[in-house]
Amino acid sequence: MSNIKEPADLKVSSSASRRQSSKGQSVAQLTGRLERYGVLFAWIAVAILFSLLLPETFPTPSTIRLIFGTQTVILFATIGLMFSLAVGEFDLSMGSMVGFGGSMLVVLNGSHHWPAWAAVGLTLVVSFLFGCINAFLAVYIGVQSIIITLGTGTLLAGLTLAITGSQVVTGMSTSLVDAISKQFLGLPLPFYLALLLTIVAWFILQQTPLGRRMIFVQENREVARLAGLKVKRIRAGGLIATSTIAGFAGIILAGTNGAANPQSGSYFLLPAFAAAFLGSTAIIPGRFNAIGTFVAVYFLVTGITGLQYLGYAGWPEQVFYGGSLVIAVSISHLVGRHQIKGN
Amino acid sequence: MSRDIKNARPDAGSGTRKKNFAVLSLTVGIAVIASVLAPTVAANAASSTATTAGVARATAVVKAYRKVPVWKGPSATVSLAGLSGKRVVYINVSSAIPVLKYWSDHVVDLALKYGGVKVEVVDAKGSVDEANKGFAMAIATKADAVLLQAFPASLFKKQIDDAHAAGIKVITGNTGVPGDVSGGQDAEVSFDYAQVGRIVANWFVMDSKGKGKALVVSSNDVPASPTQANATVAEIKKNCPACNVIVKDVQIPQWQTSIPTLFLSTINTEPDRTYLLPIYDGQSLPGLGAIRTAGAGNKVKVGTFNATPGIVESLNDPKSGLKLDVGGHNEWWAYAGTDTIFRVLSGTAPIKNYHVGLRVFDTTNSKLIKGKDDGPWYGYTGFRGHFTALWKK
Repeated sequence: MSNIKEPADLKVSSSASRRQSSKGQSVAQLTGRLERYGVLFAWIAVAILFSLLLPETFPTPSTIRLIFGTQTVILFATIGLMFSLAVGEFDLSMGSMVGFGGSMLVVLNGSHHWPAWAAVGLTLVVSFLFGCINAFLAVYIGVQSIIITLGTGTLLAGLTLAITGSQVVTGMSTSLVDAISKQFLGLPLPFYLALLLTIVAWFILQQTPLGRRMIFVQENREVARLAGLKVKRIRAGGLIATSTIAGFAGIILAGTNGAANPQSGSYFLLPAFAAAFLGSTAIIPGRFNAIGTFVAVYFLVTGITGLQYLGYAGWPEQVFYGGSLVIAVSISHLVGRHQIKGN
Repeated sequence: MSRDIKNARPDAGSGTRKKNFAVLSLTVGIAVIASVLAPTVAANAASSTATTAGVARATAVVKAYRKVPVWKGPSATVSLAGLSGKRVVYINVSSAIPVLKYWSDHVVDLALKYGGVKVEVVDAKGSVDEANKGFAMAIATKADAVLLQAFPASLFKKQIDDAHAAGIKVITGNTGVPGDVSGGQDAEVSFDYAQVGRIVANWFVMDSKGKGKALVVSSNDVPASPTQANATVAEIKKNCPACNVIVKDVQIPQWQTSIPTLFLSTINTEPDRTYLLPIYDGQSLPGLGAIRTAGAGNKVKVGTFNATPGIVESLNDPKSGLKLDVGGHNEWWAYAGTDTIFRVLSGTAPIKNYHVGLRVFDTTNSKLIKGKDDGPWYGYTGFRGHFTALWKK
């Protein structure tokens, strides 16, 4: 009897286990999706919330222009920063590079009357070379990048004050300012450039062997080296890309303001790191990725713009910025831990 | 006919009564309406008169400050005998801020040149801890005085007490209110930030003809900012009861990221709030860029303070929206700072308010803005002679 019953019991138990397993899989899928698209959903939710609260003013083309048109420097800086973070390096000189890039451009073009193309070109070359110095010291000499870039960033901030004489510098050619401020479909040129950079970064990180190698290097440098990857070259490339793009962000900043404040770059450091880490919780959780970064930057800008529309400037913005980062990273961490336990 | 007349009489009498009643009703109605409206009309008339008077007062202030500043400084002399060889530790909130560096550089030169006083600058890099170190250094090296620049004295109560206990005098610079020594310091030498706030307010009242809406953007992490912002609001209320003003606080680390969105948010949400009044032109710089990029230069007017070379030139760029930049004469302040050092070191009573020269730069006189050296823009160097005449060897 028992022999006859056993298969039936087993059947029931196996079917229940399948149901449970399928239910577990659905929950896991749902949590996975929530994790992947959490920041994107939050962005949409924030946009809908402010649209409901401010139906007359928030869901308008001018708000869209404001959100996408005013924070492109942060997007440039963050995408640039992502390249070094994606290979496990911290570049704290990035903010100073933004300030230096803008100041150098204005000094060359405004004070020394260099042609715009030459000033832009030399600024980018210097940004690139500065990235090479960071890379040499961090990768080939072996000093931790967080320490070495803290030093080089401070050095660069000093050099910025030196080349500007600690003054706001101006005198950029009108044609250059006009070119950088040029509008297409209601949005300034830098937005499209930042969008293009995001797509290029996405392509490199997600669609090329180089991107895969960068992930291996970030995950485990030693294993990557033993697997035959050129770890040093990849790490150096990440730091050089961050510096060069930060210099370009400085060019955009100076072009937008029509002047360069030698102090301005340092204020981009923390927002860029916050956006990069927030971006790493989205789309491809746990990895610094371009689309996640794009979503994170504009989620933050949308939230802050909405708060300003409601009349809250100043401290509420900081609370939103910091709170979003803490909540997103914590949830991502908890979900990740839950998934590991589930597996 | 007679019948007609007869018949007509009662009709005529009734018509007259009706007419009389109508006239009476009309009169009473008018009287009632008049009695109801009169206070409103009178109030409107009074308000209109008040607005007109306020705009006239505001215009007079702006016109006065468009002119070359004049000497309203002290006449009491100070003896420099015995000052040579004395030492002052000058704690600068940040030598990376252009104007602060300018002031400290000039005070170093002037104090040495005229009084033989050695001024040593400590760059606090924005850190209270570094400033504390400056005090400790002054006490350890037995300096004669400390000049604490652009830090609120209230943050350094213990350090000021310690300095006093060591026989060191403490001067503060640019904390907001000239001569305000409520923090326990011996002297305070400051631009008159309240007056700056009033000038900005009066320009707004004048330009908007007494019916504008303004956004004042303070930066309360800078000690003088609340003084200036409060003065702007109070002056607007005084000279333009019909005007509307709100204040928001955006602090230094957020200038680059928040000011552009704040400016454009205001333009989008309140298109009639057309006057944006950030406290400092350095604070406004990212916002001017955003206005330019958004093509909103004809929708708003930006009024601010400092006339910083490199920013004030935007007065000539209509796309930026900058229409007013009040300037404070930086060299004049450096002389005032040096004079305060001499007075404190010599035991002479400090001057409460030097009335350091201020000048309005707007679109009517923006042609004065030429070159990187801002001294000539003010058209007055007479303060040099006045100060040196006060300093008796």
